[in-house]
Amino acid sequence: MPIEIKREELSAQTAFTKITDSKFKTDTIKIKFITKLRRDDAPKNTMAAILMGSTNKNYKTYSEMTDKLNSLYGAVLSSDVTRVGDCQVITLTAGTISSRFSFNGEDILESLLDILTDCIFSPNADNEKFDDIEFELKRRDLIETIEAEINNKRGYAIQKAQEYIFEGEPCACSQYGTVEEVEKITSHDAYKAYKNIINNSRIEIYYVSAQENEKVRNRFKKAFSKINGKPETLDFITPSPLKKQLCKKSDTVDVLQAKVVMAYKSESKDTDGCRIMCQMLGGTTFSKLFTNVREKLSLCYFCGSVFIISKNTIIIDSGVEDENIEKLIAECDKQLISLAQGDFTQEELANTKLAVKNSIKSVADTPSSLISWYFNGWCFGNMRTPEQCIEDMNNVTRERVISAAKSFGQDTVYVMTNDNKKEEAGEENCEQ
Amino acid sequence: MNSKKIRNEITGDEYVYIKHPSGLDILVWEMDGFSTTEALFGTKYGSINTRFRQKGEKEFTVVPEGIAHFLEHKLFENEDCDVFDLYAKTGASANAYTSFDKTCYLFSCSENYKESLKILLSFVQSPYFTQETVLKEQGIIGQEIKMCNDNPNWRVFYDLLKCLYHNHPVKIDIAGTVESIAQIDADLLYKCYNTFYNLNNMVLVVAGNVKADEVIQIADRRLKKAQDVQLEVTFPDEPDTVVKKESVTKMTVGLPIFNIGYKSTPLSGYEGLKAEMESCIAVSVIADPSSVLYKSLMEDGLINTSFSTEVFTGPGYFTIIFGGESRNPREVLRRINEEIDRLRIEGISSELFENIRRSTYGAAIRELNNTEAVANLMINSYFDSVSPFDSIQVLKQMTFEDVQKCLMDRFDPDKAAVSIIEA
Repeated sequence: MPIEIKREELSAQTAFTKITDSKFKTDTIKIKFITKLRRDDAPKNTMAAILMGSTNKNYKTYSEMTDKLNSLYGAVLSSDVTRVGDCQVITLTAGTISSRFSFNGEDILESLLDILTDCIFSPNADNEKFDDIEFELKRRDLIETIEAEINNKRGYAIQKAQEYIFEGEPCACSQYGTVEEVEKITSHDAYKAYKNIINNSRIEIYYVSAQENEKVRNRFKKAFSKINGKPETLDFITPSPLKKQLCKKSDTVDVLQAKVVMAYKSESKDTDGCRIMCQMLGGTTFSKLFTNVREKLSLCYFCGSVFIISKNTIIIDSGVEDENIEKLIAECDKQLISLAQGDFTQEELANTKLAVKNSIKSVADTPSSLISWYFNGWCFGNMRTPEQCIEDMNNVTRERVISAAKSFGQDTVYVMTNDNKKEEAGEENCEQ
Repeated sequence: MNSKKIRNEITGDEYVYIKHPSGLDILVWEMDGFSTTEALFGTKYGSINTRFRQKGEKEFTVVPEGIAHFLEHKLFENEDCDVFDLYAKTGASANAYTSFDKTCYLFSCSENYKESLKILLSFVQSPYFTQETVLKEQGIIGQEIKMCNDNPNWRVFYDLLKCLYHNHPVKIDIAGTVESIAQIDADLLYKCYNTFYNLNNMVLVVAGNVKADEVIQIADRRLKKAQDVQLEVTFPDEPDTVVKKESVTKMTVGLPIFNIGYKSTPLSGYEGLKAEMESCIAVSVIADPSSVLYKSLMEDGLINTSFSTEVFTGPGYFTIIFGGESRNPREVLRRINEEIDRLRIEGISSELFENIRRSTYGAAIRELNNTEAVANLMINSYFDSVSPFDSIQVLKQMTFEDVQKCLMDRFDPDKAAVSIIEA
């Protein structure tokens, strides 16, 4: 049976998208609250999101909530905070196995909906603040999460690099904030942020299930009619300007293998052309970076590129021996230049399109990827189906790839190394 | 050729088991409505298989640490081309991995699966190693080893295994060390390949958008009949004691990271699965977020939401692990032991047991919602000599008493150790 997708505006603030596909054994709900990303608000919003996704007025502690969710066959309830360009997206996720698999035929979904709507509209809060004990527990947890970011050296290097790549732009800041910023947040601040999220965010609700079920739509229609906020206008595509001079930065961290992050920026409006080009550069196991930097030169184990549509920016990251840092940087740059010079075959282009097609076609196979697809489509004002997207990608020509590659300029090179000579040598340079 | 359908009455799912004349076992799970096809071609050969011999050989061959993983990398290079170039023509996303007890070659695609399957079956049966290509790979794998060694979560896990296991090779890094892989040459790779990459020691699993008949047709054409070499794998004797109770390593970390492990007797087959599932439930009863212990550790600032538990088991090893970040890991260990003592005396809560059993059952159902998870479930179950549906069956039949007994048998504080990574 084909997938059915229905989108409906429940109010000026809230939309509901229902995706029905009989192959799934689960019910999945994601509620996305989208606001502008602001340095001061971001960590407070994160605190509010954590509290919303872990307790409510009936299940006042995380332990009580987990016990209840366990009884609902391990139903999932969680929150996470992500960025799309210069916007902050707070997502509440609820999921369960279909009631047809319960031991006694009980309606698991109905119970989960009660919990979820209470998390949104009846949090564990009183007198304009969250419960003090839960707030303190979650705040400590967030502080420790920030402190632990350095444990993942590759991720930490990318995060540090982004501070330079997007310097002066909202997305340069971590949405968790710094330890010092989180330490200053009070329970009142988090509650105020919660009210603001509910009242002033744009809200996108997604529900993926095996069967038509009006119950979920009706529950949300009724619940969200209580609010009638006026969300800000959101701009998801805000290309990052190319720096006048290449920004070179390095940090000294106790690592065995240096981490290198490079950014390239463009003003091209040809998003599909840039996507295909970025895949050819470092998105597959037959890409320029994989074939040359890893396989031919044996410089590294990983070296790939991603295209951030919202910022028109390509980020390359790799891990390498200290003595090979400059060689790796030069080689990556050379590979992008080779694309701009048309140094690729029709077969490479066709194979890349085939890989992209395969990847897009698999979107329909998990509830999460379906939701991401339609949410990103909404964000970027392009609500095409996977099939339409495949067709558009197929139409990307050799000339468009060359043009896309030519449009990118080198913006930032960031190195995290154990070798403190890099810093002593005065290589630091960054100018907008 | 023998084939049979195996059905799960609870979920309505079924897969086909085929005993192919070549010696290979094939499992195909057709999943209606899914676009993706996931295929894994695996051999029962992992990093722990460092001592082996074939029938007729007097002596055991002992090979350098990390050679199974090295072999996995090298198999992607054919005599005339790189395997990734072949997959590039089909659009499939291809990869491979080596674990402690198996090596698997896989692809995922949403069209042309038959072409990709032909590539998979062909290249895994066509080794080509030269000294030159071996040397080239040492650079790449050397960087992979360094990447892993920069990961404190990886290090803390291996440090724990070194505390727990005296002789069993589970304590060695899957990828080996820069020094051990330097000992690998083309001849050694061929020796390992010819021993373990025998179809009688391998399995093919395919799940998702696939037809069993089509898989069999391709297998008929591509598989080369193999004589069973009657492989014998041995492990050194492993005492049931621990090597040492604690290890501390210095690395750059935000907060100290810890792994606490309880070593116990390994089992295999259905009994092994039963022990694993009972341990999963028992460890959740002790330390799930709904437990008394978790709540108190959290309130006292001793753990954060990175805290988790795991049952780590395979041929010759069985360890229950508590891991996370803490300013005082030794106090976390003391509190876990105290809670185990209390539960052993007072007994576990029947309500908590039932809720966790339901939760684990729900997770098993959710696993069947995804082609990749189903393919992995099939291959893991196959190498563990159980059916992919057995875990649901074990959960349905598990009693409160089973878990209470597990608590008595598998959480011995004398066989526990803690590894800590701190700045």
